[in-house]
Amino acid sequence: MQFYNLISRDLKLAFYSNTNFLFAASFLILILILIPFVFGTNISEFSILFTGFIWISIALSILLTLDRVFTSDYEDGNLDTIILTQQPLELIVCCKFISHWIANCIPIIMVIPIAGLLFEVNMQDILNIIINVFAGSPGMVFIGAAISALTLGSKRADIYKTIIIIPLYIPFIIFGANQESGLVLLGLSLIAFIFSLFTSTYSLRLYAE
Amino acid sequence: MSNKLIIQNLECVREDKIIFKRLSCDVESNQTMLIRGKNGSGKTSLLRTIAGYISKYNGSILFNDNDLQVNTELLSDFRFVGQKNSLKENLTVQQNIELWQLIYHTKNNVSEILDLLDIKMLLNKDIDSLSDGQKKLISLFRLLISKAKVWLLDEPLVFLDTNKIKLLENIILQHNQSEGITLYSSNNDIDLKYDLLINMDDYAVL
Repeated sequence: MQFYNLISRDLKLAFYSNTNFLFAASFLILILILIPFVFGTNISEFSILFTGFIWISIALSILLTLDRVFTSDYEDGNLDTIILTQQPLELIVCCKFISHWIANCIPIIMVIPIAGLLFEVNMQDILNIIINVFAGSPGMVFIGAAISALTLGSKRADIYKTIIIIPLYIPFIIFGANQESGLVLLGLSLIAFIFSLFTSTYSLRLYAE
Repeated sequence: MSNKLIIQNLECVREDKIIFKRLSCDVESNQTMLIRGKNGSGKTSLLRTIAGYISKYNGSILFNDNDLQVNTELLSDFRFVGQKNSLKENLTVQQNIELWQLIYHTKNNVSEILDLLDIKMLLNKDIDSLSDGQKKLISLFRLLISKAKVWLLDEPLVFLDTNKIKLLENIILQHNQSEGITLYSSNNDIDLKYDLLINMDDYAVL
């Protein structure tokens, strides 16, 4: 029950700060709009570039919204309030992971088919991309969240947070660009989940000191 | 049931530096303890230690004869209102309250509390359009949202005007009468009624 409450709290927060759900999806579309300006309008190349740009914009949109997982709650004191309810920290961290993934990656997944049609990608490829994103994006969210939990409380952490996180995304992007590696991505996500859960819980335990 | 908070020989260490040591006191139901002290004398550290945020300390903190270092679940009966207001700046007061209700897992009707704090007219205003005093007042809402046994207030009087301080005093009195304990830190000249006084300057290691 508390699990459900914490998730709905985070989703409500995302919904109320009304840019949140729209942000990720519009970010993806805006990046895709830039592509024709860079590469011209030779349509045959677009579908090859499409997968790559999807993954890059997912990585960037996760990086840009990382503040909302722990940092904003930490800065305004809500994290103190949540921790004092004495729910297990693992539960709190899980809720944060899941709600952030729902608020960020689900909108992206919903936009991919439309964006794919604009780029004349065929349906089978779009389906493969969606499966890949579905399997891989949770892992990327978990890693990002864990690193931002580790840097809680340090001022101006944004820049080196990015420097730490981007290399960790490389495996996801390598396998994400490959059409039939949904299972590998799922495996990566599960590994990321275990490590991120452990790190985030540990850093929440430490942050007050 | 009456409650009792006993602190024995408490020593708080942060980043290898002793903040205060040999601090002992006991607070019972229906009592308010004022924590005084210079800036940096460890008032906030003491309150945060009691609230369990700082888990490494020497000595013991007992709540109803249970060690809080072992029985951490007892801390869910504690409310800590710190200097941060726990408010989302871009949301309205109403929305902030809804988020707190989810955190505290309660669906109580809030209109009574709104009347008590006299903030009903602020309900649809954005937090960043409010004054610091109003924000402080709204952050006190968390104390009343669900029943707690121990209130830990860190500098609650900052930004509040005399009327609001009077109001807070009444709220604390009411809380104490229902077997509650209140600890608050302050450096103001105006004080709420208190039963016990602890001066951090006597324990601080500078």
